[in-house]
Amino acid sequence: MTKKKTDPRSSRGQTKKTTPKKKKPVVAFLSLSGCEGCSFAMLDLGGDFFNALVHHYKLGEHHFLEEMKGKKHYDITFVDGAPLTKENEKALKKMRERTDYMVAVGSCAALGVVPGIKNYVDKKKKAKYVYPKNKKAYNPDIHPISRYVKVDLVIPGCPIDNKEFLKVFTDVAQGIEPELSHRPVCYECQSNGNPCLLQQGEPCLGPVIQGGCNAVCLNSRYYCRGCRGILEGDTMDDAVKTLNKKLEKMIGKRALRHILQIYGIQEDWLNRL
Amino acid sequence: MKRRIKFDHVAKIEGHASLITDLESGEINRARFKTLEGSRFIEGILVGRNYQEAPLITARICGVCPVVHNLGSILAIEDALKVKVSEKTVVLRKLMMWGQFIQSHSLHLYFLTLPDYFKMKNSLKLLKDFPKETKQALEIRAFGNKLIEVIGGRSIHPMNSAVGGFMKTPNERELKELLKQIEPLLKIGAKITGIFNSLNYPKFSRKTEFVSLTHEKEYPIYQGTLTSTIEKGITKEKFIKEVEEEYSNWQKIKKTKLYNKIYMVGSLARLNINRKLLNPKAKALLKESGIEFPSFNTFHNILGQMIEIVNGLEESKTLIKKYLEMKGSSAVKKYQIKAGTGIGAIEAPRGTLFHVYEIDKLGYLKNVNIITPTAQFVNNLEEDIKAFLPNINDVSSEESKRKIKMLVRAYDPCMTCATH
Repeated sequence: MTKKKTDPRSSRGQTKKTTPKKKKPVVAFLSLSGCEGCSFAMLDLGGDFFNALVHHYKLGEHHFLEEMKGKKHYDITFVDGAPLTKENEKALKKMRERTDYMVAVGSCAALGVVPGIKNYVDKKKKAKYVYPKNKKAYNPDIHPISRYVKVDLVIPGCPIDNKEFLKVFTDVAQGIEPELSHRPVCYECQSNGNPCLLQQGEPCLGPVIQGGCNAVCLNSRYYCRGCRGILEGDTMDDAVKTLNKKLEKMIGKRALRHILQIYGIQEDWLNRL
Repeated sequence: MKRRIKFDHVAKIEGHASLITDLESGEINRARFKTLEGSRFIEGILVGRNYQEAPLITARICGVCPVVHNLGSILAIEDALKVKVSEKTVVLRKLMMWGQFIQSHSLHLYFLTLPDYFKMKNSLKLLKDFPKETKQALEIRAFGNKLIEVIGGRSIHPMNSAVGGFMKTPNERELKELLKQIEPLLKIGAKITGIFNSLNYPKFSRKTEFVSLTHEKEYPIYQGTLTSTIEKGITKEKFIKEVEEEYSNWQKIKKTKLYNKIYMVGSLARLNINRKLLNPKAKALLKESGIEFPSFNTFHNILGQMIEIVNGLEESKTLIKKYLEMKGSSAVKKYQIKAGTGIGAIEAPRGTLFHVYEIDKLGYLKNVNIITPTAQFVNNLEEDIKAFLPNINDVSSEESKRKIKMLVRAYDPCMTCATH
């Protein structure tokens, strides 16, 4: 096992001692199973992404952009998708051993979303429904990557907000501790001048969900389903309790549970009640 | 003598896949294209959940073509609940779809295939060696994304589109801004098509069947009947009845056959069937290529995608203008929830996509089936590889391997869609 370091600054600091030249961190992108929307969100930045990549990093591995063989060591790795196959699990663990600093990108990696809905139902029945003849279909519970490896930073979102990503991307390359929003979605929703859906008698998880998404769904009057996860810490516990009561009354327990299952936040939600 | 050549991981495609080829006396007798993606059991997950969740969850099948899954899902629900939407809604949906075509095709062409033709292993090298052209190509792609964003609320996993219409009216000023960009982008598009017209496509031809939507008046991407080279005017209901999905005990992709025949879907299929309905510039550029259609050379799928980008730009211009002059509303219409079955059939960038739903009287999904383009063309891809290889003298040489991968990439396979 190689030594794990959590801060990209420390590794580059060491490199600096041995070589006078300032080296760019070597970066890898690992895609596990998912829709790959987060990879496209990065590419959608166009020139901004490529310039940041070329300017701040040395590209080590990216399955969209190249066919180079993997390297032995990476300073920083960005992981999207969730581990759905044994190979995914192996690739993730192997990558962790070779990486100093690992970033979970998007809700699949951060929360184990969408495919994780099956955790809440009879997953064997679900597999049989899709593959009646394939009895060997691998069918594990879906977990965030942090269940398998140590994660140094999480960029949430389904998909990620690519402007937020770009900032983190350039920050970590320079050894700057990235700052993510610690305000609920409501904050940005209100500053965007959107009418409050809850006040209009419609459901919304905005008050307890981590912001930083520019309330993009609510800008289209699409209520927040919580893809960025519940804000960390116990300060939100009371707010979750209040919101739970309100929503159960409004749409019923079953409908609320189904909403919470989409992005895998049901457990976290129930633990706070 | 038996030999096996394995490609453990075919890079630069959407998702992850491997390719195994078995050779005997210098010929390939078996080719297997396997997904390395994990099964998410999307259809199984949807059963028992409210229909409202389907457009959201199915969009997550694929991050490069979420719009077509989102709209395909909405169309299946509207078909089941007998919801008729306004013409204005239809115009906006078509615009989102052309945005998706432009975006997805551009990604595939510039990042995933063009470097092959310039013998580059790294797409970033393209950026370094052709900075101006790459920048322009990225501008076209950005237009497609912006079009989806203005109408759908976001380019990846849009949420403004809903059963019955749109949650919010798009900003007209932003649409007008986009309209202004189209003429200059068409000039760039023509120039880039010139590059694709002059590419040295490998010589290859194998007779096969093609399937796509058809329409009397327009290049069809949004509903219509289906046409195949086997039979014309197949309704979507009949197609779903006749198409056969293969259930095997090892394969995660359910490959399909129509009337027991393998077939191809995607840009080449659409051009072979619908090229007369292309817009003037796209049609003229296709003619300039000098390639005769119908074409049975799969590599021309790449050129087909480029032609569709130009066609999409032209069509967007017509549709935005039409929308701005139209009366009426695109707002969500009121409808009743009732039991029913419905099919959404639309053209995705990679070919015809089907969402088939059965909904109970309370609005919960009873049965779901999704047939993706890649699942439909995998059989064709495998046959192509078998037919293509004898043309290559030394199968195991690096050059041959490169060419095989080029053939796979010409299909633009999407493993996340195929596996879902």
